[in-house]
Amino acid sequence: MSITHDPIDTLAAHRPLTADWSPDDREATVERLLAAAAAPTASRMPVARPSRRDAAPRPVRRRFVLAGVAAAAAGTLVIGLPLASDWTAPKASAVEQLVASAQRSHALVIPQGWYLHMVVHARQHMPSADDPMDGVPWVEESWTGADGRVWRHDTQGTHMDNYAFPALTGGPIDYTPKGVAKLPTSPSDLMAYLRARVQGSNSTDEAIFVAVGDMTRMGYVPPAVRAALISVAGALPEVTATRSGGRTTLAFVDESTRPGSQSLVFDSGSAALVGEAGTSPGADNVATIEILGLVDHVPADVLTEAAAQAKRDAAIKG
Amino acid sequence: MSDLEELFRRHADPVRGYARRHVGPDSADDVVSETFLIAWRRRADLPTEPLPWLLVVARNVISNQRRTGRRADELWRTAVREQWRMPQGVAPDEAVTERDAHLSALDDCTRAEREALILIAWDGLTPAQAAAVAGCSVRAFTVRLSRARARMERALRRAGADAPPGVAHRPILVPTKELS
Repeated sequence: MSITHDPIDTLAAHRPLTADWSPDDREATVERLLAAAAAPTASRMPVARPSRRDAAPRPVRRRFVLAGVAAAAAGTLVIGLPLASDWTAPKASAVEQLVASAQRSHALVIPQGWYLHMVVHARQHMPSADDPMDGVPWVEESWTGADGRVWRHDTQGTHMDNYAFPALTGGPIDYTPKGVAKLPTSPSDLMAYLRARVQGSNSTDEAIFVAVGDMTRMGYVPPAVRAALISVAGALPEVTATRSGGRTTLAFVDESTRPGSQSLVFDSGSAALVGEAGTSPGADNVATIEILGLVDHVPADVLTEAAAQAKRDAAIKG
Repeated sequence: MSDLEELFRRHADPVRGYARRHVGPDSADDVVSETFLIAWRRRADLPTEPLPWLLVVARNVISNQRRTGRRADELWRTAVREQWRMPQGVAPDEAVTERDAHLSALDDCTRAEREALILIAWDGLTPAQAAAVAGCSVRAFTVRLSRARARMERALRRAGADAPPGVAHRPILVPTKELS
């Protein structure tokens, strides 16, 4: 049997203690920064050396928030969808029907002591990869508790991992069952809420779309919030909506920030997220998502392995 | 010391390390300055743990600086090689061999996979934080990380750079700080 170090452990062992940054350069940088921040025209003053171009991020798109807020204020929203010139009739129809399905759906509440059992089957293909594992499917089986804690058992081929994730309450968005139940149910309010909090994608609209996927994927979002989330995603100008074979697909494409597409596939009747797909120049991926039901326990081997993993990680991290 | 200066002194090193991997030493200081100036302008938005947020800002600053793929790879590789901390008590030639074996193994990973490894192993981010910096979902990030590790392991085996016998294989350090 071949026995190896985990490459991440090795990399961590060689983590730089300090940046390779001379004290003089570091002090010069902080001095330039403080001078720029103190300048009356700081909002426009490039902080970099004069020879470098100012590299401020792109301005955040706001027109749809404004459109939504203005429309809401005028009382013109029927189901809270911001109106925009590129809001096409087929798209509106597909989203409106999905929103209606979400509003009719049953709430899935995780009782105390029970767990929402889900399974995701996924596959990724990287055309340029010379990798025998390329295209090998993997399975993520998860158990979510009433407090939002998640245990997960992943398998790919013969490889298995077990994780225990705490409730995601520390970030700008509370993803726990209790947290998502408090989200705005008005699409315009929810859009503004998300726009103020999402981060980490190539654009704010993309980050909102990702957040909608993250929330609907969890399975326990209340119907009214699910409906509002679908409205929000459908209102993004980069999103198209199509219906086919009992499925409604919301696809996000913005070639100006990222080549390829990201899609959320909903069951048209229940508005449950049942699949995802992504395309990019380097990789394509697809996943199916299935809620298996509520169970009264997490398998003992998953609990044991996840706990043992936590101890090993804690020891390594010191 | 001003709040801005305190923020800079607490977090500038990892932000600069991140910038160094993407734009090289010549532009890294500019990215750091721009990142902290943006943070200062948006200080009301700063989360309690600001490092992941700062890295996202740095990534956005860097995204405006167009580079070819090959140039980006060279910058990243050079930065990792130069910042690689050599172990104490190991013969220099062995240490260099180990470093180069891992650099070669990293070459087998895609750009996104390499970055995933370093965000976790060097920047010390949790998967959720690293996913935000990488601009993908947590699930996509953990998959990316698992694949990166598998690729590195295979490359290291091919290179004969296996660890000494007796070191048990164990699952990836994905959840680290998130584990309860």
